[in-house]
This record gives sequence, C-alpha cells and structure tokens, in this order.
Amino acid sequence: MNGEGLAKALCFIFLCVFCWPFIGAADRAGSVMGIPSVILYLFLGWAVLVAVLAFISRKLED
Amino acid sequence: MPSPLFSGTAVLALISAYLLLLFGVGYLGERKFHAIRARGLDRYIYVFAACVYCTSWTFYGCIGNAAEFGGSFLGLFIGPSVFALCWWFFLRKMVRVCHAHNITSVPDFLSVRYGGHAWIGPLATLLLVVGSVPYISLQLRAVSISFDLIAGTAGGRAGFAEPMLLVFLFLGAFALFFGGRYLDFTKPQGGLLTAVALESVVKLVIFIAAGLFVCYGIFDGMGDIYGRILSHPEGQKLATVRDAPGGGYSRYLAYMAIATIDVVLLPRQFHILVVQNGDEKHIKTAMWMFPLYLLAINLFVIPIAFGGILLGLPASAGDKYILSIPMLAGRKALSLAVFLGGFSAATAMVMVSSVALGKMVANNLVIPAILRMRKGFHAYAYLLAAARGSMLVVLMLGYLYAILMSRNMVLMEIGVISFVAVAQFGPAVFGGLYWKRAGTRGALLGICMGFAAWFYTLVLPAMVKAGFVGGAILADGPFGIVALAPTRLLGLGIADPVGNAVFWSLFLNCLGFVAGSYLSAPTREEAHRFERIDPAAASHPSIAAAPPSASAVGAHYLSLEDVEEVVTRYAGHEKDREIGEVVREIRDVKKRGETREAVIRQMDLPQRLERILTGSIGVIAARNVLRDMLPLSLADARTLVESYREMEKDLATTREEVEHKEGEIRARERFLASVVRSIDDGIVSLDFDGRIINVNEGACRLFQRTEPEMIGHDFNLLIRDTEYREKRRIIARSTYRTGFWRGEVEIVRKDGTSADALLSTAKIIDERGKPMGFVSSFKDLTEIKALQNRMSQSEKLATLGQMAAGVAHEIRNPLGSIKMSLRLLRDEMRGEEEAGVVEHIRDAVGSMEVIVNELLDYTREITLQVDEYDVQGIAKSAVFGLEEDWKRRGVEVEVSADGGPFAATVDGVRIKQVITNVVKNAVEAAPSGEGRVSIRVSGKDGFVRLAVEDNGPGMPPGELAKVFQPFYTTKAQGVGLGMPIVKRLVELHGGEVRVASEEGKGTLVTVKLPRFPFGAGGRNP
Repeated sequence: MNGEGLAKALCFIFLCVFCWPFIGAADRAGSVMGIPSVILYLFLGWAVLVAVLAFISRKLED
Repeated sequence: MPSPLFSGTAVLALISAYLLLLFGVGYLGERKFHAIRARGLDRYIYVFAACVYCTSWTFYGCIGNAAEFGGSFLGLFIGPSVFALCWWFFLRKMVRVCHAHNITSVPDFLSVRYGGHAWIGPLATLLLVVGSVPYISLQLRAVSISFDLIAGTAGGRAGFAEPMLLVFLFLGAFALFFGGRYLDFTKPQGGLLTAVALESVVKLVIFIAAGLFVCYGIFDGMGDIYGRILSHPEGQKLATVRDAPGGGYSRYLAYMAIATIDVVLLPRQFHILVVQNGDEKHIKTAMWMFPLYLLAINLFVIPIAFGGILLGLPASAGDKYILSIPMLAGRKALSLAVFLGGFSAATAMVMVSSVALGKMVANNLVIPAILRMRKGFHAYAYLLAAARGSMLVVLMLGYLYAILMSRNMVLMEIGVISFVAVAQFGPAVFGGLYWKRAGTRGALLGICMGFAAWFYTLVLPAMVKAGFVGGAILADGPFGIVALAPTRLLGLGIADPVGNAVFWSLFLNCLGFVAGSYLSAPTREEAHRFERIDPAAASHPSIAAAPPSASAVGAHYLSLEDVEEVVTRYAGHEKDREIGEVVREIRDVKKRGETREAVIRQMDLPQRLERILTGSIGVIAARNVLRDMLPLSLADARTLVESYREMEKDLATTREEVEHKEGEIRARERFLASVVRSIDDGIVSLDFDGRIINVNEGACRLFQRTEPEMIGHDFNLLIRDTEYREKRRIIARSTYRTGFWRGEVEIVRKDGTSADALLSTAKIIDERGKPMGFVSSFKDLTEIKALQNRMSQSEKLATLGQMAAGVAHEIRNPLGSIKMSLRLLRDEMRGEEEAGVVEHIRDAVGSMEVIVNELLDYTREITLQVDEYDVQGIAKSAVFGLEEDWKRRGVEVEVSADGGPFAATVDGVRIKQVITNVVKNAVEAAPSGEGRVSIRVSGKDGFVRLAVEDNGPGMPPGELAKVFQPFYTTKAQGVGLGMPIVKRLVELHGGEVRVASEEGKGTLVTVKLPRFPFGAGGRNP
C-alpha cells in the first residue's frame, strides 16, 4: 500500500477509534492511573495519532 | 470571583506595548520574509500561523465548556487532527486549485467552480460574514471580559479606554498595514503571518504555564484534580463524554463534524492554509505539527476546568477560570501573562479574520458594485481603498455585535454559531472539488437549506436567550407544534441543541446539494468549470450545449498594449511582471510567425487575464472587467480554445492513426507479395478482358517466360488456344458467375512444348463487392502424371506377378511328377539314343522348374533364417555349385578376398542364391573360351562388399536401367527374375546392390551387405 492509501486507511481507522461505539467502550466510570478512563483514552489515542501523522508525512510522496 | 489585581491604565499600557511589539514583529516579518523563506523557516511560520484556529474560544471558552459539559469540546480538536491524515491529497488539491486560479476565499472558489450564477459569490460572502462576525465579536468580548476581570470595571473607564475599542482600533490599523498592503491577496503576507505565528507561540506557552500552575501550584498534579473531581457524583458526570450534561456523544460528534470542515473553510484558516501556502511541502509539516499543537494546548483545559470547580468557582464562569485561579492565588505576573495569552489568541484571530473577510467582501460585493456602477472606472488606488475599507467594516461589525448582541451569551455559544454557519459551505466546496455532477443549483440549494436550518435551530434559540424572541417557541414550537421546536426538531431524540443543529443543517444541506445537482443537468459551462478544477476529468456526455453568449454584442477588440494598460490600472503595478510576461509571450509568438499559435494564445488571453485579475479584485469583478474589454465572453473564449486544442489533438491522433494504418497496410502488402512470390505454383491475375495484369515467379518458371513476355498479353498465350478456346470461355463464364472454377488444362511453354496443369480461377472483388478481374493458379501436373503412370504400371506388374505365381504353383507339382517319370524311364532305357532324348527332356524340365521356383521366390513372402556366416565361404560354395556350368562354357572364375574372414549375420541360403544368380549371369555374359569372372570379397565400415566382374560385352544404358525390372531379360532362356530377386534379398538384409556396365568392357555387380543388420546376436526379422 502506498503512502496515500495508507493515510486514507488510517483516517478511517482513527475515525472509528474516536467515534462511538469504540469510544463508548472506554467511556466508563472510574479511572486509570488516577485519570478518568475516557479522557486517558482520548489523549492517548490522540498522541498515537500525532505519532502516526509524523510517520506518514515522511512516507508520502511528492 | 477574584478582585482586580491591576489598574485599568496599567493593563491598557501593557496591551499597547504588546500591540506595538506585535506591530514591530509584523514589520520585521514583512521585510525579512524572503530571508526567513530562504532558511526554510517559513514552514514553521505557516504551521504556527495556522494555529490561529485556537482562539480565545479555546483559551477561555473551552475551559468554560469543560466546566459545564465535560470533555465533549475535544471533538473540536480531535476531528481536525484525524482529518489531517487526508491533508496531503485534500488540502494539497485545494491549494493547487486556488493557486491555479488565484482564488483567495471560499466565495471565490464557489464562483470559479459554480460560476453559472453571478450571485453565488456575493451570497456566500454575505452568509460567511453573517456567520463570522459573531466569532470576531467573541474575541473582542473575550478581551473585554478578561480586562474587566484583571483590571475591574469600577474605575469607570472612559470610552476611549474601552479595551475592545482599543483593540478594534489597533487591529484595524494592523489589518490595513499588513493585510491591505496590496490589492493582490495571493502575495505572501509575511508581516501578518509572522505576527500571527508569534501569537500562537505566546498563547501556547502561557496556556501550558497556567496549566502547570493549576496542576502543580494549586493542586498536587493532575491525578489529584481528577481524584477529587471523581469523588463527587456531579464531577463523575463531567469526567465522561457519555453522561456529560452537554448531551454526551451527540455534541462530541457534532463538534467533530463541524471542526473537520471548518479547520479549512473558516475564513482565517482558508486564508492561512490555502491562500498563503507558499510551498505544498509545508502541508506535510502541518499534518503532524498542527495536531500536536492542538494536543498540547488542550492538555490542561480539563484540569484547569476541574480545578476551578474544586476551588468553588461557579461553573457558569468557567470561561474565566484560567485567569481567575492565578488571580485568586495572588500570582500577579502569571495573571498578567494569562491575560496577555488570551489577548494574543483573540487579536490573532481578529487580525486574520478581518483581513480575510474584508478582502472577501471587497472582491465579492464592493468592487463588483463599484465597477458595475461606474464602467471603465480604472483606479487601482480606489479599489485598494475599497478593500481596506471592507476590512474595517468587517471589524466594525464585529465590534458592534460584541457591544450590542453578545452580552448575554457565553463564549462557547457564540463560537458554535459561527462554526456551524461556516460548516454549511462544506458540501458545496468538498463536493465541488471531487464530484463532477455537482451543479450550481445544487450548491445554492444546499447552502440555502443549510443556512435556513442553522438559523432556525441555532440562531433562533440564541435570540430567545438574548431576549429578542419569546421563549415559547423553544418549549412549544411554532404555532404550538412541538415537533417543530427548534432545539428538538421532529423529535429525533438528539437531546443536545448543538447536535440537533449540526445534524439538521448538514443533513438538509447535503440533501439540497445532491438533489439540486441531480435534478438539473449540468451545462457545458459547469462541466468546463469542473474540468478546470480537475483537469483529469473527462467531459460529461449528457451536458447540454450552452446558449451562445450575448456579451459579444457591441464589444470591440483591444490591442495587446490596451490590455496591458487596462489590467495594470485595475491590478496596479503589483501585476506588472505577470501581465508583461503574458503580453511578451504573445508578441514573441507573433514575431516568430507562428500565426496559428498566436491566435490560440490570444484566444486564451481572457483566461489568463482572469487569473491575474482574480487575485486582486476577485473573480466576479475580474469577469466583469474582461467581459467589457474582450470581444468574446470568457466562457466562449475558453470553449473556443479548448475546442481548438481538442481539434488539434484529434487531428494529430488521426494523422498518427492514418500513418499507423498505412504502415500496417504496406507491411501486409509486402507480406502478401512475399507469400505469392514464394508459392511454387504459377499465379496469374487477369482483367475482365482476359489480359494478364500480374504474374509471379512460379508462373515464369512454369511457362518459361519472363514477366514482360506475359503481362499485357491475352490469356490464350498460356493455354493451348485451338484445343481449349471453348474451355477458356467456359472458365471465364463460370468464374464470373460462381466466383470459382477448377479443372485440368494443357499449358503452352515458350518453346512450344505443352504440359498438363491444374487451373484454379477465382474472381477478384473490391471492398464494395464490385468484380475487378480474375486470379488464376496453375499447378504443374507433369510429375503427378508420371507418378500416376508408374503406379499404374506397378499395379499391372503386381497383377501379372500374382497370376504368374499362381500358374507356377500349379505347374510345379506336374513338373515334379514328369521329372520322376523321366528318371524311371531313363533307368529302363537301354539304348544310348533313347537315353539321350530322355536326358534332354529332363534338362528342359529342370529349366522349367528353375523358372517356376524363381517365380515363386519373387512373389512369395520370404522369411530370413539368419546366422553368422563367412561371406567368402558362401561365395566359394556358390562358385563350386556352378563349376560344371562355367567349366563347360570355358570361363575362368576366380574368388579372392582382401583379408578376411568376413563374417556377417545373414541368411546363408539366400545370400548363396544372390551370389549364384549374379555369378551365373556373369558366366553367361562372359565370352566362351576366354571368359573371366572375378569375385572379390572385402570388408569396410561394418559392411561386407562383394564385387562380381565379368569381361563380357556389357550393357547399353537403356538395358542397364531395366536390369532390376521384373520379367525383363535379353536371354533366350529365363523369365527375367534373377536380378529382381537379388535386389529383393539384398534389401531384405539391409544392403544394396548396384550394377555398372560399359559396352565392350564388361559389367560390375556390387553387393553391399551390413555385417550385423539385425544386431550383434542376429535375429529373424
């Protein structure tokens, strides 16, 4: 898969990650390491997304 | 709430100092932007400038939102972060399209893409201004609120000291100086970009500092804040998205949807990300840096919000938490820094938005109106002033809205109204970029339906809240119809008003866009417009022809000099270089005498001029100007140029195809000619009069004539005229009627000899089915006929042989009886004379028996009984058997050998018969008394060679040729089967027999036998 195809696939995957029903699985009462689970989920996912963006921006061809 | 920490004057002084600093940075950025670009730093300025997305709405409003509704606001930042994955193909395409057409705003894009209606640009501008002015007012309000918080209002500020007014005035000046510097908006605005980028850095650093202070200065870290908030039931709700008071997922998803669209289409974002993109590669940097910025600035939003709640501050004042908490802690410096951070976030947005919206208003409303009212009004300075005035007007509207309208609204509500409004352009822009079928009517219908839904579901409730409209409509719906209540439209169960508004506005927008596009067939002009956006798209087959433009009426041609002068008047000297290049290019083409190319370039001129002017005065004004200047409408000129190009392309293709086909035909002709030449048969083509047109080499060989000796002559030349005159007529008539004739003819060669040939004649028909002549193929039957004769002779001989064998078989038995009787008779005879007669009869019967045996040997099937024999011994034995005969004739017979012995696997009896026959012939041929027969045995290369030579009279060639022919003999006695039997037996052994003879010298018969014809052990074949 080329860079563009990978970016499109990842966009779909992250869209799923940040949307219901996936977010619903993390959105429960309680906390992980003292941080509310849904907030931790969103920020961790976001950090992974930024890392993926940094990686894929180098893979994309001019 | 905390008490003010500073006097108003001190804060105003700080603001002024900061603004002056900003001005200085802008000034430096404007002057040094080339140097910045040369060092490759412009990409970071581009990304940080794009972070103008985070305004005071983020700085203050999101904290307020988090305090009231939990984490749903994160959708505003996560949505654009996910969408950044597609920026390399989506944003890059948008950048390419906009740069190709000098597009400077979303309305410009809509005008270029959906130019069918002249008012789509102005309508979009009006709606964008309506949607964006609240957002500008939000920034001014944020400055005012934060100022009131930090400096208090008790001081009774004078009007001029009003911070909003101060900001308004300063930002107006900034916008005019840096944003309105040139009429051409596509030029890099280094000052504006640098100042905005600096502000993005300032607000991020201050926000993180404030967050760290709240987390670690007031509380014991994030864990402490979250732990405490989770210990309260209300706090637990805020720590989820699902149960948040703001409507849970519906608001979160609504934020995601609108932010995904707005991150590119908000006027300030479009201006920075698309218009001011100096290099496509910057998009790659923005793809990851921009989301990283969003992540960093949001890291402390929720902790600050929860910290404020834990400190007992009212949730409704959440917008002020970031400033209130340091103030409550008595941290003056930090409080002032936070104020400055919020101020920075607000001013950056106002600067860019006022410039972008102002230019949009100028290009789509003001300048077209001026040019419409005053045709031929060519004044660059006035147009520039109009653009700057438009920027001030936009800023003024924001200020007025802030003063008059937004007092009763929290920052988040104002921001959402703007966000949802701008998102209404999403379907038309995205669809226009990728969907060929997207039409002007669809875009207009979608935008109108979307904005109607936006107004009804979002603005109307805001007006109710502001007290302009009674609240009954929200509770009971219009006319008491609850299902039509704006915030719960049709009762779909979307509890959140924002989710409800986003869903209905975008749903109806998309519906109108798709339905409008499908219900109206796209015109040729619309198809052209899409192809301009996406040149790879093919033309639509169902596009209706556009009516001819009437704009050409009364138009006049301008010289290139006139065009240059008029365009310079509109675009100023900013465009000297570009217009100069265009004109020079056409002149150069003319100078070179390339008239056709010059015409095409001149016809293409309107498009190029439109592009140049669009950057300065907008697409609408540019088209109006060009329509007045040029004899053709832009659409007609474009159509003409494209048609001409297509014609040229088609002609080139046709030429190429013709050449290709000609090449194919020539190759095929060469191939066919080669095939005809290589055919051994004679091929002759004739016209209808029977004249020879063409012949092949086979015909030349067959008729022993050259080509010129045949071509042009009558067909009678080739076949026997007298005998076949009638036949020729039959051939011609039959071929003409049935298309084909085949049969035997007698051909005539040049030397007068004739030969039998098979003639096949066919009619030649052209591509229209019209007969053109005949083609005849002559096949020489001489060899076939000879073969047939030989076969016939062989059949006769075979029949005769069978008959002779039958007779011999029947005779042999009586002969045996006669022979026996003669022996008995001889024994009883006493007289010598009688005995001699009997003996004579007995000899005659013996001869008959030999003949009969030969006949039977020749005709019956022979089975060899092979074994290893010495051939020399067999030869001696045979000679011994004939001793009486050759001695009686007085012939000397000698057997010799070159070495030996010569063992061979043969049937001894049969080989003895072979040698006996050959030697007997030689003895009979040799002259009596002085005859000599020599038998020489030799061996070489696995063969045994037996040579029998006599000194007889020899044979003439004719006789020699028939020596192996059955029943051919020159002797008085014998049936002529001796040599055929020899040949047959030798060949059965895998050998060969040859006869060489010369008259007067004698005959040499050579028999060559393989030593091991059946393998080493020898085997019966």
